[in-house]
Amino acid sequence: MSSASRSSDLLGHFAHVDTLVEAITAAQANAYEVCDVYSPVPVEAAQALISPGRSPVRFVTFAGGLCGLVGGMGLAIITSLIWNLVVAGKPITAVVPFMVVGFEATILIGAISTLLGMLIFAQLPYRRFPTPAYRASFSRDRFGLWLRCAPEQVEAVQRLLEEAGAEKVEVLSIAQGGRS
Amino acid sequence: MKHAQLFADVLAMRDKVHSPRDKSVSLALGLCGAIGLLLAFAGGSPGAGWLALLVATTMTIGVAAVGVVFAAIFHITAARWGRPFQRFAEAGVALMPLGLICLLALVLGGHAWLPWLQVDHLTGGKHAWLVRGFWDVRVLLTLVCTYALSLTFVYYAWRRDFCLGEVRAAFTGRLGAWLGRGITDAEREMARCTRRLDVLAPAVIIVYALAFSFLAFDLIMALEPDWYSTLFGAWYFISHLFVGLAAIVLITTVLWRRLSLERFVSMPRQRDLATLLFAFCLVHMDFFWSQFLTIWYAHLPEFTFYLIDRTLDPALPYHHLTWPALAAFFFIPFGTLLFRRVKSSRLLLSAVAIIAISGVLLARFIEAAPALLTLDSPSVTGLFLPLAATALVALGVIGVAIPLYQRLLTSIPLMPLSDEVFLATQTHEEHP
Repeated sequence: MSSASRSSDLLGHFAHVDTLVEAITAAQANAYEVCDVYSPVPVEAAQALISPGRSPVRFVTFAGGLCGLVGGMGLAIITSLIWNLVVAGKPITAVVPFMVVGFEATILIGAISTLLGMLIFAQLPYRRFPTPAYRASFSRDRFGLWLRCAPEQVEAVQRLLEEAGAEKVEVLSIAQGGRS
Repeated sequence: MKHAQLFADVLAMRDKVHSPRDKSVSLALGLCGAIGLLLAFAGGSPGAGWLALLVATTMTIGVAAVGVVFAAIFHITAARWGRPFQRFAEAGVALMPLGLICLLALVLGGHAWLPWLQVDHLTGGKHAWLVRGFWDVRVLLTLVCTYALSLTFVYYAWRRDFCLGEVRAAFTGRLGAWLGRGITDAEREMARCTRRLDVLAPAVIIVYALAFSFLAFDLIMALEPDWYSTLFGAWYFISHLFVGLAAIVLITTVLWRRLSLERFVSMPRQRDLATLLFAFCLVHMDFFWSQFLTIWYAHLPEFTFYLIDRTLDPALPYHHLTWPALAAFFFIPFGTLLFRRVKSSRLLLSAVAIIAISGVLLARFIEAAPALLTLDSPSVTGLFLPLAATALVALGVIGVAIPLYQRLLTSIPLMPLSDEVFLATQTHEEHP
């Protein structure tokens, strides 16, 4: 029997960011599993707590930008070599004007790569959304914290959420193996 | 009261602005400036004195103006992240008297350094524009009008704070008494100040761009009376915005520990400031490149000589400075600010800011020097004295600016306490 099949899930509803952050900190300090956090706005402090590592998207952005620079310069150089267009005695492959193409392609491909990297690493679009713990109010004016614990810890977790400032705590009945 | 602790913390900050070492640092820098002026005017390099004064003046008048421009930008965009930096930017107005004095010295000594006075035949209709008297009034009036508008903006921004009783009680000096005079209905007065700021903020930005474009044409571009570029003004005012932002980075770093700024500026906010510095580094280069590209493509002798003299000509020493200047104002800031570690470290960020400011200073030197200096040889050593004198005079200006700036900082609340946007950031702001 897996550990998930012997666990219980609780959902805390919060009205304020600081109480949410406090609850996440307390849950992590007590080694309860934080399954998910819901918020209508980006909360950097909560994000830093649930995924403290640095995002790998930046490598995708860098690679994309580099490809854009090489591609943009390459495109300008190769087309100029194929279709010689001599302007005012300037060299056929001139770095000065080609930098513009290279710069624009760096930005374009870098931005597209960032979007794709973000979608891939965030596993978006998430096909199983809404999750069992999602509530419509989490897209409006409330914050949600979904915790998983052993069945004998339910009361302790409930107390922890309430002490942190949860307005309401739900014990979820989720088919085991739900997203974590 | 809702924000009692916040108010108490902010009002207590003014006592920590000064440090015992400030006076000696200021004196040492001032001494550097005096030595620089002496070297420049009596060092035997003709034109070096006016060159050093011109470069220092352009930097000073720019830094004095751009702080208010940033405050206006923060106001228009309701930038939550920028609020803790707002007062440090606005206090740049403390340098305005110094900038005006330097400009006045340049105007009074114009007959000794303005190269177009020696030109018999000015081309392109410039004979009507570059006329002594008209030029004097124009540069002084442009700067005075810009400063007057900026001061009006900061007056309303600070007066709004002085509508709060706690602020009026804490700042009872002359400036405080003037800012807080005649306030009977505080809420109504605060609303009036906010309405005035709404109107003045866009005006400050537009007038700054126009005025500093004209100052660029008159103070720097006119040094080569046969050369012109319509983009030169934009390149000049953008470079001052870049320098101003780098100066804000430096100031907050110096004052960080003294004022316990971590209470107001979280790490994400510091990175926001660094990201904006990176953005201005790109915009600055963009304006440079746009100008360079069109001159390079057109390849017309009446335009290219300006660039050739400063970047290529082996008969002149200035090409030795071109790459160091480009590296300092673009390549180094661009390459380093890509990294999160640099943006997160105040020390590294300050080092980048110093390099960027030095790069713009060097660019200004390269722009002005060929028209003002008379050099005997193309050797780079001939440039040593004028360059060293310019750097020393710039340090001297910083030495004079420090006490002026600090004195102003002790006369106003260091955070915009009447600003709803700032108060909102302090209520629910993240402080990891």
